Amino acid sequence: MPRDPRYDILFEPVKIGPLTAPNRFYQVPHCTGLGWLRPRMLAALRGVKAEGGWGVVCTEYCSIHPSSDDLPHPYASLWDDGDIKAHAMMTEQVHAHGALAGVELWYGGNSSANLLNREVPLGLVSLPTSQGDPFQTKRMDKSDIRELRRWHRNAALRARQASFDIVYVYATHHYLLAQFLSPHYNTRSDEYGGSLVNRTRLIRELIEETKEAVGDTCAVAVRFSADERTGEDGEPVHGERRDMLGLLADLPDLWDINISDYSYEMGASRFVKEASLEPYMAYVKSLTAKPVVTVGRFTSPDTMVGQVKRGIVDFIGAARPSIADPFLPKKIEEGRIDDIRECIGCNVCYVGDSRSVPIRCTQNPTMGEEWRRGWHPEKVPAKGSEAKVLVVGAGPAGLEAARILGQRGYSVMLAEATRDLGGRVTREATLPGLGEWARVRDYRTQQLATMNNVEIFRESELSAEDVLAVGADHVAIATGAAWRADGIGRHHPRAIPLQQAFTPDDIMAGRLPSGPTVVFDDDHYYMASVIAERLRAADVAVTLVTSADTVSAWGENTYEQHRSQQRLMALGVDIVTAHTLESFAGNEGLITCQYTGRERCLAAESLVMVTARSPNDALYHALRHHIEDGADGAPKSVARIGDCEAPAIIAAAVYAGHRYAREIDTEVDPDNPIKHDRVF
Amino acid sequence: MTRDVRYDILFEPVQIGPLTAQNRFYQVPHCNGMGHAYPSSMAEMRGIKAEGGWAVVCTEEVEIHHSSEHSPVIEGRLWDDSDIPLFARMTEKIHEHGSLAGFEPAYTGASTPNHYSREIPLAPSHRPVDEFHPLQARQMDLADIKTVRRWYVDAAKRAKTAGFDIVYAYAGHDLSIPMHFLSRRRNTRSDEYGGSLENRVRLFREIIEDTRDAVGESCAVAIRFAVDELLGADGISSEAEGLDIVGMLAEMPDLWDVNLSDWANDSSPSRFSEAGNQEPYTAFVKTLTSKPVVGVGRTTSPDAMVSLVRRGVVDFIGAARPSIADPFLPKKIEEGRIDDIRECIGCNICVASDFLATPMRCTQNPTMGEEWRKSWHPERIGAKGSEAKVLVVGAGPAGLECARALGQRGYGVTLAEASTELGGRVANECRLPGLAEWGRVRDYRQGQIAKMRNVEIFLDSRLDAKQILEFGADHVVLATGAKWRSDGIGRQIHTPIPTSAGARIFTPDDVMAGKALTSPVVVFDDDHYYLGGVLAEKLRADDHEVLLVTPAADVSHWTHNTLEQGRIQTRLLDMGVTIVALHSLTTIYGGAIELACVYTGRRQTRRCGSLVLVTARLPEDELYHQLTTAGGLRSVARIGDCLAPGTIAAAIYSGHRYARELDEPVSDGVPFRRELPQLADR
Repeated sequence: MPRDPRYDILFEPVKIGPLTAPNRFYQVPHCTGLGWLRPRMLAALRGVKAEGGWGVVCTEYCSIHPSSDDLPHPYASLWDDGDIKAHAMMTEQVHAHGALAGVELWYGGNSSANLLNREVPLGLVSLPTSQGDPFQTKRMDKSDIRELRRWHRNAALRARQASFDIVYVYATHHYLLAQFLSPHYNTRSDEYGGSLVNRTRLIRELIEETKEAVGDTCAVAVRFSADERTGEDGEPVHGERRDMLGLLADLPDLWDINISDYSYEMGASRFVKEASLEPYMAYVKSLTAKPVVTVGRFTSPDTMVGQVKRGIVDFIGAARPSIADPFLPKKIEEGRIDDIRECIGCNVCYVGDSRSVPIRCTQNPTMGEEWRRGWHPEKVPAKGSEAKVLVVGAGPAGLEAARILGQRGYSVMLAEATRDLGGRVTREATLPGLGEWARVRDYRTQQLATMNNVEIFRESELSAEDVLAVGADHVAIATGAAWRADGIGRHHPRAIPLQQAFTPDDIMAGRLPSGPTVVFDDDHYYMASVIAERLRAADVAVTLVTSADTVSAWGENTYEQHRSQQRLMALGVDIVTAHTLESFAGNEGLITCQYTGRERCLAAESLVMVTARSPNDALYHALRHHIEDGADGAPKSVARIGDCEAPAIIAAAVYAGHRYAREIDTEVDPDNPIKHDRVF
Repeated sequence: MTRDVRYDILFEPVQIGPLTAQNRFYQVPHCNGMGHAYPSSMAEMRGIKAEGGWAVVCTEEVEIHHSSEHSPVIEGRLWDDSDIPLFARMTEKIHEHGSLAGFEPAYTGASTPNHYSREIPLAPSHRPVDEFHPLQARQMDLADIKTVRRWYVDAAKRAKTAGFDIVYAYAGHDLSIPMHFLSRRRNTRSDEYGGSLENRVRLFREIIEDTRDAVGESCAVAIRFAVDELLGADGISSEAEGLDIVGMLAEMPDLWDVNLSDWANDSSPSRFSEAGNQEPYTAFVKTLTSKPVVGVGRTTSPDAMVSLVRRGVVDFIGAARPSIADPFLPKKIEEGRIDDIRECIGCNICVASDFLATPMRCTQNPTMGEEWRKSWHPERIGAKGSEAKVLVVGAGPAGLECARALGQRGYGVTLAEASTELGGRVANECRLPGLAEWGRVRDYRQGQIAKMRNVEIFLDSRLDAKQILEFGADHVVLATGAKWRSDGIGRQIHTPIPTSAGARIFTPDDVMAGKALTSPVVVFDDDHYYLGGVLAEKLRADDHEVLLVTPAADVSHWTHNTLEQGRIQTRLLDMGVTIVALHSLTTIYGGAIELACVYTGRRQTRRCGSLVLVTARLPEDELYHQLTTAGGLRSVARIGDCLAPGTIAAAIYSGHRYARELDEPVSDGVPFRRELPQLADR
């Protein structure tokens, strides 16, 4: 399909210093949970982005010196020549598709505890490290600043040796360079502190020195925050930032702009929507003649065009949209707008960095698997046989299995018990703030609609006998899971005495409790806080009891915890932390302190249990019995996928469906299915 | 010096199945933050333990299949044959010193979320995985059980190929699949693997038998089993099922390695448990089996060790932490050098490395984790590189270690201490409740220095810049420590807290110096390691009304990494300390303070007789700046808290590093050998 000419503007080449980017799609630096620890996984991931049409593809934060070490969070490094080879592998794959490769040189300052290297972290002043480890920085004296400049220059030279095209001076996200700029942190009285000119001095020196070192062949970008401090959402506090930017306006070759509040810059869709940085940074282009890039979880080509046409940006920056769909630019280019797999803003990708494990994505199950499993986000191998496959259940796992099986050319029947496709995603998308999660369903139903070899049957609840009667060669059971009402979960291994309890399934079905309600959270991801929010919207008084010390404790990993608890408090939810519910009867719950074992009573009329889920696997087991009994019409294989096998996150369900469909009729060694980056 | 004959019993060889351990010192399996990610570092560290006299040196928990992996925590990894050479290097280094190498396979099931491999964890019964990860484990069917048994067999065979002498069957720490099957909390099955104890033991028994069959007659098979979970009737207990299980399996293995579960109970810090704390739970084991028994208890005293053997409690002195603090502990006893033992202080900083997925460090032993990458040996050090004289100012942990290591190198060292006692912050902190053993940091170094004729110590000798210059040393090392701030600046707060006249503000230094406080005392903890909690405990024990305010969600938050957090918060609550979490301090008035909720900003006012600010420290580096301005010295350097306030471990490390690097060439690149992933496709 030819592209709509109104999108042509997105495919104009743009000059960046001595180089030209082939289009306006710019993958800004983003962490991956890979870094120097997993170089081959990383190179393939970046290469796929370039293949998908991103005109610029950058690294994650890349340490310039051993005294800036962020482990356990994986970062890239250019500490010595030994690092060059790993980066060269990435730039080679990026260049193979005509894209430019950027490297974000990074120095952590008081964010680094240097747990690997045991070096003393350097900072503007001697302050405790910001991630909570029991170390303080050493206050940098002038010789330290000179050293820092030398390290930065050396790293830039190594970057060029690794064939990078764009070298960053990274002056935001509260790392050391950002702290030099900040009137809040920078209390120095020498020529690097005090006046605006003094506070920008180091950045200026680094830009100049980087240009001097590599500027003949490389562009120099500055990553900079457009506002000064966190205010109310959408209401920037610019402070001195305009003046600061004005001072450096045309010094770099490109401005990569973000904002001071990370939880807003990369806010989950529950809290922040597309193009939300505009009010913060719209002024930037008026102060510089150099190209400007910013992010905003852009997935709509019309929004992108608007941003360029209205002169807000020159490049459409993206981290998460490029993770959910590495081929987003290509799809716009080829007029395949409906094929775009839009980011849902769940921030599961961020868990890679938080937990020091490879990045994954709800929408894109191939993320992180490009090299180690050889999974491409767009290409799948053709079918390996003429087998017919029955998929039972059209939740995230079932939809994705059907989509990939369909793409491979199998003949697929997808049977859904209800009228609606999407399963849990459709239900959860009705909860406050989670509307975008329906994209998991929408992308897949859209794709399935174009496939002649996939038939969808709604309102088709199947028994084991029904399944056998279908006569499929392979059956995938994706019947999901149900929230438990008996108290069993992390804390309680066995059922506890409860008078009737509601579950999230009840709430999502519109069965709401009345009167003061206790929500007991032994799950610790988003569900309990979203349920509490839903109940408050119905004017139900809520007390949230959690066995953790905070609300939605696991949300720390997706950068949502703070906003989740803040929102509940603003909505007037009472919060009781570090307590477990032991019983509930006669309008009274008995709760126990996790530390002291002290018990107390909570008066409430209703109870919602958010604890654990039971797989809906009765059909699976019934089928197995039939097969073991030698029933007629038995399929060659029966498998469970997604929550029906083991309840987990939506990303895991999509992944399970994808994997099932990839692996049917292919040889995979179950004991050794992945390649890995080994040290020894 | 010859060894006291009463310790001879510790050096008797002991038979373990087909093999003989050369003495009774046994390094039980322990994690180290190196494992598969820093394998050369790991192998060298284990080799040094063998060199130091440990007759048995074991791995950490080793992953045996990608479907049960510990990421981000770094453990051993034996997923397939290509992992064998890494372990072969380890066993080779252990065998060089005549020691036996032990291998602990761990299929951890629902204890680990498989964030790396993305496989679904397996469990006896459906349940959410441990901690708060948003996924559930799948209930294993009989085919899964068979498959897991096969993985254990594969791992045992690979271990044998890698040269291991002892292969474990591990059911401990609430961490491995055999333990999960034993547990009534985790195992609610109704088939032959669930229900009765006999059924719940079935998988463990099968794995022991399978392992025996797999490794044949040349290797020993050990059982590691947690005899008590300290959960009373809810768990395995040494008076009930723990006892029964040992009875059921008594003669099956060649060795019993017994301990407490979970890890926080097994590796309890000195603040909460004394050495030998496990004896009451594990002592029964020897009465039920004829096989040798190893137990742990952070034992560092040779007399206590002898007593454990003589009284028939154990056959082997098991150790993890004491072997980390002093890899040469056995050698030192063997050679009659009891005074040279560097005793573990039970601070559990070693444990933190595991949670933080970085190489293990140790407060007492600064060479831990540096054996390979920096070639630091715990006992040997290069001879001095010149005839230079060194003045060390300040006898806290950094200064003491610096003087000790410089002295060992042969330099002429003068150590000047302003106060009348050695130890600096350690001397103060070890007087706080539960921290007495921390005094060992000072005691070891004081003992070593006392034997050195080339190191002179001067107490009560506060020096100014002029005196230092006049002293005429070639090199001056400033180890003058740090002082706690009184302006409120810390982790969350970066500008001084507004304060009214009449406010009574104290720092931890004031409290440790015994200044009089008035109730109610508010401890504001923006430091989040142990000190805020310890001071609250001390003040409450002194009968003050105590309120602890912290911007974190829990007390002493960082001590999750040292397995202490739960115990600390429980103790404070039990003592009647009031805890206000998730609040920052906004204003200090005379007689009151104002707090703000970190989520909503909502303010509240609390009465406050005295306020103790535990926020951050300021280096005591005035002398340094005076001396660098004055010039005239060959070198002047800062070490420890005076350079950048950190942990005691960091101060010791800093002092040690200075001493190692004096007169050595300075590296401009990465100052240690790196372990980077291979890039060749294979």
